[in-house]
Amino acid sequence: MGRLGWFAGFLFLCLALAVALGLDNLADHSRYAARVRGGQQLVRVLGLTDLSLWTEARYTRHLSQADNFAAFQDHPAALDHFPAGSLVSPPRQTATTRLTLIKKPGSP
Amino acid sequence: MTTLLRAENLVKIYHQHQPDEVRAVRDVSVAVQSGEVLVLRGPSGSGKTSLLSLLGCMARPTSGRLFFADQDVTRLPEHFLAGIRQQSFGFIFQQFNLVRELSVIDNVLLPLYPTRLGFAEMKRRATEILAQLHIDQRRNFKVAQLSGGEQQRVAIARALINHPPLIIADEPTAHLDSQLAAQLMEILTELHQAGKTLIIASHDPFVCDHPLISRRLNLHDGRLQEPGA
Amino acid sequence: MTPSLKILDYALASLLRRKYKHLALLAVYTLTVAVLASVLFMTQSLRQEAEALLSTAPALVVQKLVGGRHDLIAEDYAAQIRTLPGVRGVEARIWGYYYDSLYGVNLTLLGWTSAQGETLELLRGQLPQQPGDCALGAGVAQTYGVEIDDSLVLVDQRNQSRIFRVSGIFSSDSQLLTQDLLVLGNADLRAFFEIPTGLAVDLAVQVYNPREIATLAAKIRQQLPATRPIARSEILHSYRTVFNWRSGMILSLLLTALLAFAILAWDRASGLGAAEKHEIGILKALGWTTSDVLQLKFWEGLCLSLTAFILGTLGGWIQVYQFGGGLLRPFFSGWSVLFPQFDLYPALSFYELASLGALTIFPYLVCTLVPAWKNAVSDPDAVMRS
Repeated sequence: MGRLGWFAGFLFLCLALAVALGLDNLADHSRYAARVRGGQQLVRVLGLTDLSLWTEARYTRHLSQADNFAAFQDHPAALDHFPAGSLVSPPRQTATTRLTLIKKPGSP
Repeated sequence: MTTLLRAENLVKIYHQHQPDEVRAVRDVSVAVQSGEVLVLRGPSGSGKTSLLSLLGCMARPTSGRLFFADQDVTRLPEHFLAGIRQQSFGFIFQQFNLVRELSVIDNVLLPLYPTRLGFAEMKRRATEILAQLHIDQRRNFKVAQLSGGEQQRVAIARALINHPPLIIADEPTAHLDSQLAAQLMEILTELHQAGKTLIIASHDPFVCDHPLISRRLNLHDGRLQEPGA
Repeated sequence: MTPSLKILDYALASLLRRKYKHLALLAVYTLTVAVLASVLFMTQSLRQEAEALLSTAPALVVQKLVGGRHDLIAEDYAAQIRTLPGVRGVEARIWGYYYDSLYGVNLTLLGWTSAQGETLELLRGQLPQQPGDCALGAGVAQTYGVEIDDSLVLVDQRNQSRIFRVSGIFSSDSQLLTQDLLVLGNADLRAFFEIPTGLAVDLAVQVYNPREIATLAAKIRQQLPATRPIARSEILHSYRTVFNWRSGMILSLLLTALLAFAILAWDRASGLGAAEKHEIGILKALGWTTSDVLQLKFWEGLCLSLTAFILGTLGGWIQVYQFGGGLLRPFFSGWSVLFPQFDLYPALSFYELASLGALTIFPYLVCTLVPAWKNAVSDPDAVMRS
């Protein structure tokens, strides 16, 4: 009976772990709901249309707004060829910045 | 005495109609009485193992018929044959055919897995038989760790676990020295005294000439010859 | 006790007999399932989050097309759209991109007109209240080390520097929406991009009845043929599609691995080893029926594949929902510098999980059962002689 018992025990442990993970995630539900609520408010107030996920090209950043017929599109610094443009990083020849920071007085 | 097993004109051909065709058993008819101890004598290649396989329902004859307890089992579906093998025959193979990576007790328990017995009852039976054969102290050893004589006793224990009425042994002394062979014949004698029917295939004179044997049949080239021939 | 349970016990013993080989198989199998499960969970959660968050996106966004290309739209169009029945409001949107090649960061600049405040839950500080103010996403703040009341200097296309005071920073909980965002006052952004007065990037349309969105879109297309209205449902559809292609791309790579694994498993199982064949012969000789032997092989296959499925799925779950999917991040993120940290909420699709289970378990069962079949149905003598 030993082997069967061990296997049943293993299955039970997995089930217990699954339940524990589920409960742990359920406990997060109110935090998730608050986050979604806050996000929905942002979307409504700012009029956002897309998630900020893939920022490398406009057709991936605002994919719901992008032209649906152009084969090649603008890209900050590299060849733009779908879908390789989202996998292959651009060359770094022109590494200059157009954005600088001025810290507020009194900050370290 | 009742007839326990009867074979009529059994023929077994391996690789029929192929270039390597072998006629292992040719037109063998034999009746085995209950309580009998029958030995099949013959040199290597005479068809003893093939005939035992047919008698033990482990192979189907090419032609001929086999009766067990007056029931024609020749063309029975495999499921029924398996049941007969499990309940009625205890087979002791020439090469033992134990599962080497399993322990002694796990090997002995193998015939009981498809039954409805619980683990506790299975272990009780196995322990009892191993004790009778004086091998219970090695019950948790892997078979690979045992000597030839010990493996032989494990094979016998496995053959007896279901209390079958008929024991079939193929060259039981093949891997034993004379002392162990004598011990084996003592075990077989005890089994016979307990009412078992024995069919033994052997070309070992120690077995063939043993007083335990009630009948001797000669097998040559797949055919049974008259006793004394 | 039923024979099936006892045969299961024997199957476990059989697996343990060759424990290192089976452990190695289990490890590879589990890893493959874990990665597959991770991809499925991540995709499902992102899809769920996108649908939840973008449910309050503008009902319609109207773009202007010139020669098939996106162009600036006249604000007069807004007046025409406002007259359509069902339209609650139309707002001109100014937004665009700003690339910093040093950090490899592509920012989205969004214009905003201050209105009576509602306090934003996910904003620390304020949205731009006066000219020269800006609010940033947490990703931008982190990349440049920005705090509230610091100033950012942006260089426009005339090479003029413009200074913006940081009035607010969006919290990290809003990363999925604001990671690369820089919000400026509409007037500031218009001046920055030199978008002439009277023109906008597009128009955001709000409606009274969401069920009329499609009708309104058709009317807008009819009245203003040079425009392209994009409905909220299309926005959401595009996210469903893109998560499918992103995950599909990863899955197609993984399927190759899975296929290789299946070939390996088949190769292992298809020529049953001599020892395995012999064992089947012994079992049959001892009174095991064909179905007992097949049951044994079934349990062996099921125990291994089910264990791999369970451990792999749990591993995938823990990887995605407890550890934020870090291992898959390089595959999902492309080369985005500002890719957000994931704090995804579980979205369980039983259909997808069942499909994963079927893909995991059935092929392996087939690999185990089919090769054993021939020996299982043969006479014991034939099996032991072969």
